[in-house]
Amino acid sequence: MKLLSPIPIGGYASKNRVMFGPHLTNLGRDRAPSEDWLAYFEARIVGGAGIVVTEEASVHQSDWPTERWLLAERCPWGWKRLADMAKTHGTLMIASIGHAGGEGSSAYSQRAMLAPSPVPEVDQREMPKELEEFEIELLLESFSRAAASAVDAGMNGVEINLSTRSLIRQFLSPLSNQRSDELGSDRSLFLRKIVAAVRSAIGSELFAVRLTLDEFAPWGGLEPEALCTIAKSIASSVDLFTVTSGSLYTKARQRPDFHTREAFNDHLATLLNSHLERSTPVFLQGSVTSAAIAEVLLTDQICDGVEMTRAQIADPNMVNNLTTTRSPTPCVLCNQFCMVGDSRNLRVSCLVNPDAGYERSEPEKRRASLPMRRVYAPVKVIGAGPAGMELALKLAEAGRTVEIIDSCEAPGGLLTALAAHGVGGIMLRLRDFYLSNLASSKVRIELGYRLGITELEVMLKDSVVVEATGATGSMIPETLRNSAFVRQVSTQELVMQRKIPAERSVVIDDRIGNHEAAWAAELAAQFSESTHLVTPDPSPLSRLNTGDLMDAVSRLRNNGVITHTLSKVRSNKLPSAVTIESLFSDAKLELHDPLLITVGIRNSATISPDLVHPKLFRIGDCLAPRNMHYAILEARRLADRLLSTGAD
Amino acid sequence: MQRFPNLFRTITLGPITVRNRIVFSAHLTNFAQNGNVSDQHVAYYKERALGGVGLIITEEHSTHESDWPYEKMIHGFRPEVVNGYIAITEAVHQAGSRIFAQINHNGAQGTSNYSRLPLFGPSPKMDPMFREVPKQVTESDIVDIISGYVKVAEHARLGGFDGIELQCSHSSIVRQFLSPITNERTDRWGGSIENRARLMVALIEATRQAIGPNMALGIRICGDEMVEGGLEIEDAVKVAQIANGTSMVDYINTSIGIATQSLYSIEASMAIPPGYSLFIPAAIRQVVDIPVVAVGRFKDPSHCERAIRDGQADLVGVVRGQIADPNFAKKAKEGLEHEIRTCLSCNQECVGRMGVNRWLGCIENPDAGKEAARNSTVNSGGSLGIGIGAFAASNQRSVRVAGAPRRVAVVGAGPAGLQAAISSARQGHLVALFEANAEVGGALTLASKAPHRAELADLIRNQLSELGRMGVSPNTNHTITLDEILNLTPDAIVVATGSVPELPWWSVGHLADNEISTPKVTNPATVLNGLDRPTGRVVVYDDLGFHQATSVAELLAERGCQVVVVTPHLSVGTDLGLTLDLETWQLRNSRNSVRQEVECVAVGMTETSILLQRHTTGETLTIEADWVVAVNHGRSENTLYRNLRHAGWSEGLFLIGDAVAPRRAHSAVIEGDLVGALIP
Ligand SMILES: Cc1cc2nc3c(=O)[nH]c(=O)nc-3n(C[C@H](O)[C@H](O)[C@H](O)COP(=O)(O)O)c2cc1C
Ligand SMILES: Cc1cc2nc3c(=O)[nH]c(=O)nc-3n(C[C@H](O)[C@H](O)[C@H](O)COP(=O)(O)O)c2cc1C
Ligand code: SF4
Ligand code: SF4
Repeated sequence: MKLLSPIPIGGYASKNRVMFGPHLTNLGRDRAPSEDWLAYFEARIVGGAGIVVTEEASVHQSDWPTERWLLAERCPWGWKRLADMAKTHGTLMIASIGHAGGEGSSAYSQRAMLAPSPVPEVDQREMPKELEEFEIELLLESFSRAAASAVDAGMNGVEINLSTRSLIRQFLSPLSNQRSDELGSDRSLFLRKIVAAVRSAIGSELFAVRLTLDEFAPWGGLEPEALCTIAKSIASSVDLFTVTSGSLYTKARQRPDFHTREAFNDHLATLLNSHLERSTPVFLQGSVTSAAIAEVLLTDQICDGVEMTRAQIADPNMVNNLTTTRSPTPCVLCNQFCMVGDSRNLRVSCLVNPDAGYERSEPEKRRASLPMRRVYAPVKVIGAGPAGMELALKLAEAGRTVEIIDSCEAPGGLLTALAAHGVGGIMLRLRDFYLSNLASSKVRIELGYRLGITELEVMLKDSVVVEATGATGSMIPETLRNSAFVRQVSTQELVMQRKIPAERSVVIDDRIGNHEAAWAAELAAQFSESTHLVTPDPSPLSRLNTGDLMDAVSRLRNNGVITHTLSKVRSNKLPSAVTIESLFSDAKLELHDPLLITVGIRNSATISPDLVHPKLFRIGDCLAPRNMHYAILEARRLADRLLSTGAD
Repeated sequence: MQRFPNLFRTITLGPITVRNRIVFSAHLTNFAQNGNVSDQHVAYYKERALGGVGLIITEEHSTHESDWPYEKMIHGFRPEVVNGYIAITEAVHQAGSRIFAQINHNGAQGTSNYSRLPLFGPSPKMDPMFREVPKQVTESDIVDIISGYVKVAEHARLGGFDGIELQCSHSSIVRQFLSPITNERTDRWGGSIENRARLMVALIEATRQAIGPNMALGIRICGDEMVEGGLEIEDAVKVAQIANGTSMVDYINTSIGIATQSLYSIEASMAIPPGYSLFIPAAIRQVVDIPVVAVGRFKDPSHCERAIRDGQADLVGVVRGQIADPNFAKKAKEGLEHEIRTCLSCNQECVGRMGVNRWLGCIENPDAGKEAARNSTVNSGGSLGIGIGAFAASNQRSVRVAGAPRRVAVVGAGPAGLQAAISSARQGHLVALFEANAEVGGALTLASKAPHRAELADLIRNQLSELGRMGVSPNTNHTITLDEILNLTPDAIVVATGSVPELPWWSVGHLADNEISTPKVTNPATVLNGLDRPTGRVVVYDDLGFHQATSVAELLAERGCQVVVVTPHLSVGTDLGLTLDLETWQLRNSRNSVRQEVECVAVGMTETSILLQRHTTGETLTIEADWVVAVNHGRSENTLYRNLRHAGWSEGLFLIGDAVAPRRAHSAVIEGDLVGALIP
């Protein structure tokens, strides 16, 4: 594979063309690396990445965008530990350094943010301070100090960020640089000063630049040609460009979810390559998740290398797995667990790989909770969804006898069902990953068999039984309980349903506000004349934090979905009718005979609700309906317990 | 003579005697680190104990590993906490206060995100805010829960606490069992009120057994869940009776609302009148023979005194009042109640920061949340204005040891300038304070003129009163020139000149005094100071998402205008949610018939209307209007600063508040407060 072939970069050679790019992990403590942080990167270094760019560190304490955001002056020890370790694996290590300028936060520093001009960031809407000259000098110094400290620590080089959350980009762009001085009339002057300062600080070590090639703000932002010209003007000092897109108004472009096609920046990489005439290697960033696509990009000479960050969050051994028969755990571009920029400080993790971000603590925890008696009995897993398949795979790979039983005709549980409705097509990758690996491990899956409680009890005589039966969506919300005539379906049932009937009107009772609600509304809009999305929140889809929010709201609007915010659905005195009520005013809307879709109302689908038995276990939604992340986590935890070599 | 005789009478709570009736009731602080209490906890509680509070009830301590609803929670079930407990209780005891630990399991009012374990709940019903279905607890889970409480109670006993409070109220699995909304069980834990209260009683018995007779045991119960079908006062009275009937409970604390659905009633903002929750202790007090605590927007000692005198409660919780002024009790006791820096009930830095996982702060009290850092020394690494240079000084401050008093000129008497004058005067400097307007307080004084926002002005009143006591009074109506300042030969100059409104690009050419074109364009400040008086159809176009637009909209609607609030955001008043002002504003303004139009960007104006584009669809809209109030960022007024820099000033020159960048009041106060310690 070309993907696995070496490539010269600056004075070094990368062993392959796969980069693990910089991203917020929240694994540090007190703005410094931690043991968990090191373990996270170590796993990807060991897993085969050619180039690892570490999490961005602020060059100066005026920049403190999130609580755990790294501060360069606290990083050298961590950089050194990683650099030392990487040597034995031949990985190139690059330290990302930067300053978020007006796209940061004042909440932690309790000082005004600093930016080229007083232009507020769009989401937080906080006004930054216009940088004064002496402050700019100070920042230049901080950039070169941070860069020098990274190479002193043994890193092979540094990367500067000209993409989102970037002071340097703010200087480049007319959207954010409205200065009347020299730095305003020559907007790339600040960049050139930084480049000169960094280059002289790091000598001949690697200098990488991550830059957006399209601000997607046609009314005044920078466009690809202009940005390529800027790139070209600094190319002689730069060893590697990584191409991104998006800016102040389009932050989500940085790492969109599956609604955006894979490798969506390909045309930009092509453009940059043509400007640079291949003088400097160009890496392509953005939703490259499969090796097959990466290979095509390389053989078509669209780019010289690919950043595959989420792919390696989902499977730290992604690169190494390309040379084995086991297929890598695929990233499904959901952004549900790896986008951790909000104030909750959640650790980076992954929907399909719940060990991500917990490389150190999770194994420790599992070891600590193993005092179970070893069970040699064969394991029967009920349910061929993610929880059941993960458990069976882990057990089978360790040589245990395991069988899966599922009442459906097709394996995959919700994965298969979601895929059937188009939107979740990418989920099929995950299902196929399980099915192919289960097949090579020779796990038997019995389909179309509905197990009863008595059979289960019989099974327990000579087997361990694990209920991974997922959830049903049959609960009726309390405000609708009196209205037995309303036709109601939960999103869960809707997913499982093969055919969707045409309807006059659909009411979506959304008490969650996430991607599930967005999905249901879009689907309903296709088969009904009018679709009403009702939420108690001030805005629709308020919990959609996968980067898709603005696009999803646009899709609602463009599909003609009528949204009722600060509202609730209530049963009506008339049979088969519901009322949509405002929480705060007397506004009411009565609808006759709508189909009611409830979002997220789910119940465990256990077949043995009251049974307690030492060899009976429940995992995933069957234990408490949540999501796939917890299903897989619990499967892994249980596999370790069942495989433990603890006391007999 | 004691002005508040009832408030300063001692009281016994079971085995514990408390020196007065003022309670610092439980509240989250986000001071915990890695699940343990921190030095900041010690300093924070110690400061309030030194300030004279009778009883402190700490923030909740989690009783079980399945309970980790927010990142910075204290894991009371881990034995490591005991050392920290000892540090807290010793510091508080030395200062003469009593201290109880609130222990709790949040049940389904939580998330698996931190614990990576399923939530516990009486029934598999998701909480309206956390939105995660819990595991319906089994008999053995309940045994587990109870033993968790016992473990934490033991840690509290070893840690030197005087008592335990069981939170059975707004964010607790105990309330979830009590409430028919969340408890749909059909076994012995559900159904009748006795069954639903069974967990509470079991926890009372187990905890009492764990702590023995020498510690106090209290419960906190919810007087009204404030949600449809939820517990109401009659239920709360029954619950109180059941608890009282165990004879193991020494006092009852009260609250109102559910932390995840009706939080606006627990930590009521200034839009809810004081005394709103007093009916709860009053009703409970009728049926129990143990002391009852009233809580909720008690801000001044006379209000506390009255509640006790009138027999509505035995003790009074003053939470935000003592965040804002740690010396609330001492000042009341010494007859200096007019010196109290009253809490504004603005919820911006206390509740608002809690909601986003940040340490507790306060607009009134720039020290709140930084008590532990205060005694470290200032490292003033070449500080120029409060721009970048002062970063070196970060959140540390010091008391100046020696040196002659400096002459400090402060220009601008908004919250920033007033606080700079205070911090400078506290260091012994000679302060001259100038304000161009007739009224001090700048933008904040204007903000307080809007309906339901009056208490904001308490900040200015408090600042002025402190300055007055130090002999500084502002020179109002005094626009000071560069030469005038330099003639004062100051050692330090503080520029706190705030910001000025700026016309948005899409309205240029539509000034209010422009005869040709209507609609007239104005801004909140000019409406609030009365210079512009919009009438008829008014569009309030909001770029900011905070109180500015909603305040003006409400004011104009009350004056009879037909108001439409337009915003590019996905909802009106996006940031009002965090300060718990959104519900009450919506309630009032749906009655005022204020129309709300979201997802719209202003793109221009015609002779009769404002032109908008809905950015989610690209469609254009036109709204006919007589007036447009443009609510956007103003421009920093920093001319004086720039001129002084130009004249060679650097050391001793400070730029603070909105003059740095137009933001909110807390930045102004924090920056003003830093100045005193940074004056060379
Ligand atoms: C930031 C904050 C966090 C709170 N957290 C808790 C809590 O953990 N447990 C509790 O019982 N009450 C909690 N409360 C409620 C307070 O105890 C009190 O009822 C409320 O602040 C009203 O009192 P006040 O008007 O004197 O502030 C909290 C209040 C605030 C302001
Ligand atoms: C109409 C209006 C309403 C405002 N409302 C608030 C508010 O509710 N809370 C707040 O912190 N700041 C509010 N502000 C901004 C502060 O008043 C401003 O940040 C502060 O006064 C700056 O202090 P300085 O002028 O002394 O630098 C408002 C401003 C205006 C014009
Ligand atoms: S959480 Fe989703 S998008 Fe992120 S790495 Fe995992 S699968 Fe990919
Ligand atoms: S931030 Fe506001 S509400 Fe909170 S304690 Fe301070 S003054 Fe009171």
